[in-house]
Amino acid sequence: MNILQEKEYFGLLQNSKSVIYVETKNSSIDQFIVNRILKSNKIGEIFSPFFFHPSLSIKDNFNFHCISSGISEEVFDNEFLSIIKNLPRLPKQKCDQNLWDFVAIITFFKAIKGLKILNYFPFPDNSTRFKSLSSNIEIKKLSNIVKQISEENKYVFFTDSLPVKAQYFEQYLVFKEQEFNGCYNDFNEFRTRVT
Amino acid sequence: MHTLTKTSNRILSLILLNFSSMSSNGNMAISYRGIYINFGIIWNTFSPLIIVYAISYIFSIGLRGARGLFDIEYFVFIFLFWINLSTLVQTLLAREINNNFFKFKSYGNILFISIAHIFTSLLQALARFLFTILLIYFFGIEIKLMTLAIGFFLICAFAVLFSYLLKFLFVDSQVFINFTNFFMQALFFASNIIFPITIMPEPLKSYLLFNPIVHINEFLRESYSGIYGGFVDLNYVGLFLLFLFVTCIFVTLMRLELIYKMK
Repeated sequence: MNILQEKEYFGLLQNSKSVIYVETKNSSIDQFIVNRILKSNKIGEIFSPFFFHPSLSIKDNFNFHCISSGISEEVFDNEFLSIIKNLPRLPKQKCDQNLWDFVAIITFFKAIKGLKILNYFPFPDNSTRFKSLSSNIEIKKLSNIVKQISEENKYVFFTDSLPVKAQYFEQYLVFKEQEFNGCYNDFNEFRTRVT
Repeated sequence: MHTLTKTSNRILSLILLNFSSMSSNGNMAISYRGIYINFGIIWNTFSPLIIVYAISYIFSIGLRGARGLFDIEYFVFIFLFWINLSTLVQTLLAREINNNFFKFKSYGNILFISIAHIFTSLLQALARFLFTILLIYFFGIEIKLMTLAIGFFLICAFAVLFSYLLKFLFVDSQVFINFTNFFMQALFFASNIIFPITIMPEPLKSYLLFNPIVHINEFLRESYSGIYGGFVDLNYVGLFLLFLFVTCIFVTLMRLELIYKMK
């Protein structure tokens, strides 16, 4: 059921965990599609695979975002900080992919003050990529922090497919390219609409 | 006040990013029994000194038994200042702004990135300068600290304003970057870095004196040699820097769209 008009949803995006489902001919949802839908690029910060500079180490990227956002390291968990502290200075290519993504997303949620926009989220799930989680204690700890963050925080998730854990979101907006097509507050109705 | 803090935080973080990028080159890393040491920043900062010291030494001792052309105590600094200038100009121009990392960030604009890069290069230039002074002092050679400090300050001021101006005028144009690299090499020979202005032929001499770097180099050379040719005019250098400064402000205002450019 459409519960909102186009002009009303921007306000709600700030205060709820939302999915924006985009029916698009493009192969993926990029920055341009996000900006066209939000009508502005200043409404929030997007989490992209380049949120962390791929040629720098995790520790350097973490320090960079802490300084640029003006946040103290104290806002992070001690467990998280001790993991970061012991990491070698290696670029993305030589790092564990899960480790890289988890630290990046945790940093993103703490460092970004405005609306948090994601078109990519390293949700720990049962896919092949996350199978190694049980063998590495540090990555497992980080994955738990990521799970906690995804449950506790408000953010907007852009997708062109039914996202993993979509049922945990509070509202679902549908767009055809950049045109608003409907808004749902019930996952089942949303699923019926998009499948 | 809040905006100022935010801006300074962003510039500070970009400086950190510049230094981190230097150590990201895995070729300068040593990994031994779990200990990982990266010499990237040290190598990037001090590697230009190898060529500076080598050329200065060759020119000071001379070849095939001939007497050296210059005294090493001032030539090394004239050459070092030139290397600092060309490094700053070339690296600032080569710094690409619209890459994947910056385009998603609201502060990935030309002003912040240029300022951060200038500060990074200046810190490196200062480290090279101080290291060379210590080295000269270690060998027991006379140091005219005030003269060198003035030379360093003036060349750095010129390098900052000149590179900032070029960056704002031509942004990431590859053609212009190549042209500038060629121009900088030509300028090396068309200035008084190797040969003093006093031995230049007359028509060339009067043209070269339009270049403020010639005055600064000659100031250093005269202070050390005690032979005054009457060509040095630091007032001209000051006025030239003032002109560059005003032009930089003007160009910044003309190119505000680059600063406020949408992500």
